[in-house]
Amino acid sequence: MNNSELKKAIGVEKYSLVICEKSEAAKKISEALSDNKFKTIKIFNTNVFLVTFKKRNYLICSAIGHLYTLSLLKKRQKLPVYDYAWIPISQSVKNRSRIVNARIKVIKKLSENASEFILACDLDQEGETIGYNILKYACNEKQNIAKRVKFSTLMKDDIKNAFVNIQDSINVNIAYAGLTRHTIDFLYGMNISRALSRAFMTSSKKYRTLSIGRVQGPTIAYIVENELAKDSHVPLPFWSINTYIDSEKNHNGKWIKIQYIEQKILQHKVAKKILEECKGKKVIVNKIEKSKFKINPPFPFNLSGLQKEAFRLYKLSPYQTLNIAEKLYLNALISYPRTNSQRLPYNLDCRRIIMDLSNLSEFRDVANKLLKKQNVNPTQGKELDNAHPSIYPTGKTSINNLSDVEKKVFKLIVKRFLDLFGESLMGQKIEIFFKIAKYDFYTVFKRMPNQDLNKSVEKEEIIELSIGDKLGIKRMNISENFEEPVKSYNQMTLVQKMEKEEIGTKSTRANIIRTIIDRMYVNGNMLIPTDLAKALVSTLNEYSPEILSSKMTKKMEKSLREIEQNKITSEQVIENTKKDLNLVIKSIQENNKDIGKILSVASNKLDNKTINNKPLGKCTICLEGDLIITSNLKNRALICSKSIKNKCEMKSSLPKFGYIRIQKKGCVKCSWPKIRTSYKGKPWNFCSNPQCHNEKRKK
Amino acid sequence: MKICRLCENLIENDDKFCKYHKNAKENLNSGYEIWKKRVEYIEREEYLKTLLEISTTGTLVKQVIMDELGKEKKNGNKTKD
Repeated sequence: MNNSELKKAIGVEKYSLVICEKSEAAKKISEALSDNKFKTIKIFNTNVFLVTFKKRNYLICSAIGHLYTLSLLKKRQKLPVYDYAWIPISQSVKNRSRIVNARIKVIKKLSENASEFILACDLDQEGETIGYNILKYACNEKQNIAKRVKFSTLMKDDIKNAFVNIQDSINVNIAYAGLTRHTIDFLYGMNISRALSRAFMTSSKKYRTLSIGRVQGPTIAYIVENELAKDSHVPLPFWSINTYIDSEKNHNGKWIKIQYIEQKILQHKVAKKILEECKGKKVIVNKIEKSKFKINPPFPFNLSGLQKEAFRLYKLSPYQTLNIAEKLYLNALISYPRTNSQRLPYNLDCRRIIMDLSNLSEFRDVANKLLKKQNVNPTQGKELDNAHPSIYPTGKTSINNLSDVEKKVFKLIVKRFLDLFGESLMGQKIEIFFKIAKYDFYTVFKRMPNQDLNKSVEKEEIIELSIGDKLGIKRMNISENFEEPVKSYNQMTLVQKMEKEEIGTKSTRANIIRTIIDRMYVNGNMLIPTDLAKALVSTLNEYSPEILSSKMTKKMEKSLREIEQNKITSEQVIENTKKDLNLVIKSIQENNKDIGKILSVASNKLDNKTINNKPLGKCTICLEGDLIITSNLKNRALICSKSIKNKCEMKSSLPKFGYIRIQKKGCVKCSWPKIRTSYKGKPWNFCSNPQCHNEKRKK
Repeated sequence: MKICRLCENLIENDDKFCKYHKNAKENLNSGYEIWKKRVEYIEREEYLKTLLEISTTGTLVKQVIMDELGKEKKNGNKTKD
């Protein structure tokens, strides 16, 4: 497409070029600005949208997230390496090259005749970084003259407002902080991961990617240390006294369970003594304390709050929740989800949103009740985020195109939003203290008001005892318990730990956990560390403990915040990183052999097929060996125990997942064992002999 | 470098166990002192067998226990002979 063809296709002389992060956002902005009367133009097989808003022409194009990435200038270099440059992502990731090249080409072409540049990427560090790179490299250094539109939802009014109140420049400091973050992470990856992989190679003569990052290091260390504490746990005993007393006066005649004042009795003889001395004695009501407690409505959702709730209710991983929330945002159903804020915007028209949400049948009653109130004031949380408010529904309710799980997350956000307008509820707590012989016991009752707005029905039945009442013991015994070990991390509790330790960002934490899973550092949903992760943590603890310490990454996060505030330059932070890296690389290189040895032992364990102990039956070929399943993290196979010493030829690969059963009779044709498993929920029988099995499939 | 008798991890110095099993052994020993105080008295072997039956006992601890009980069994057999 030459210039004249392009001009003809666009049809206008003068236009402002609007750059969005994703194509869905570009379309939504076009719809909003033109009231659905936009023109779609196809340039190099990519859609761009022409809209006229307030007598100005806007050509709206989009990236697909990052279009540029960091790369080394020379491929093979001695460590440490510091020669790098930003290049189009297509040169580094081949499977995205066509689409990335097309986007860059379109933006480059359109930027030639644009009279103005407007950045409309997501309003956060990542969005500013993506936009900065596009303006710099694709639009030929327009980063200093580009304007910025700021919005937190893709609703029409918000977008129109953003274009009316357009900012004169992009926030270059936020972009610098983002670029610095990418650079530091790149330098870490290129240097430390390479140093470890090379150490591994010197010892094992094999290659394995041993990635370790600025945030990844401390995160793996948390998992390993937690698991080691669990594996080294020695349960200590303690005792408790279970006492049930009669309650003729009330409580529907049910026995009341009361507790000894010390929940844990640390000596068995003490527990026995209490039991003996209390036997046959009367229970005397000693003291009754009544107090009130308040149940406030919840806070608005920020990203981690939403992730936590979605995990608790639907077992969605933080990564899944983030992806779903992003889709909901791009459908203009909710506000921007990558936020720390627990506060709604002060000028948000909550009444209008509640009214719109009443279109959803399951929320109609609650919404209508709220609308009857004179004032609808939401509760606000403590956390603040300068870029975005908390997550809230926009009021749009067309959810037919969503999957079931997406609908669930959307409804969770709607429910939380409506809960914000509920009233504080008062509950009553009654603590009753008893005396049996000389020992103190107690019980607690809570009278909870019903959560429903207008009703206030007590959930617990009232117990009416008064001081001096004498009751009888119905049952009293000692139970032995053991102190529990720490719990393994799951994806959500790990995100919470990272948040507590202030490592990573709200947007990156879920992705980092995913990388840790992909790199085989952990196994299963409960994030059990593999031997490789344990070896990595063990060696780094010895030779470069700073990589595993959250101090270093916290220091960098602080520096990045200072770049945003223009207190420090990006160059200074990168220089400091290089100094730190030099020390780490030196230490790894000096102990290359030892590190390599430890890592290769662990890696071999991971690669070597671990043989399950239970034999599944006798081998139908050699009739001597046992059939056993061998597996590593990638593959599963059925082998004869004799095949390990090459005395039997029985070796067959198995499906990665699902149960495996060996049928009593072997294959009629080849006498190899027949296997029963399931495929897509249906039973599947097949011969373990690959040749026999393949022949059948061909037929 | 030598290899831990319970796993394939490397060990330094004259230790019998790698640092993980060593730590488990230390916990086991300190745990025994606490158990003795809490249950009045318990023989070491009974203590180890009880721990093996408790589901929350750590896997490293269980490996050390198995090693110790195995050794005791061998020693017991020898004295009988």
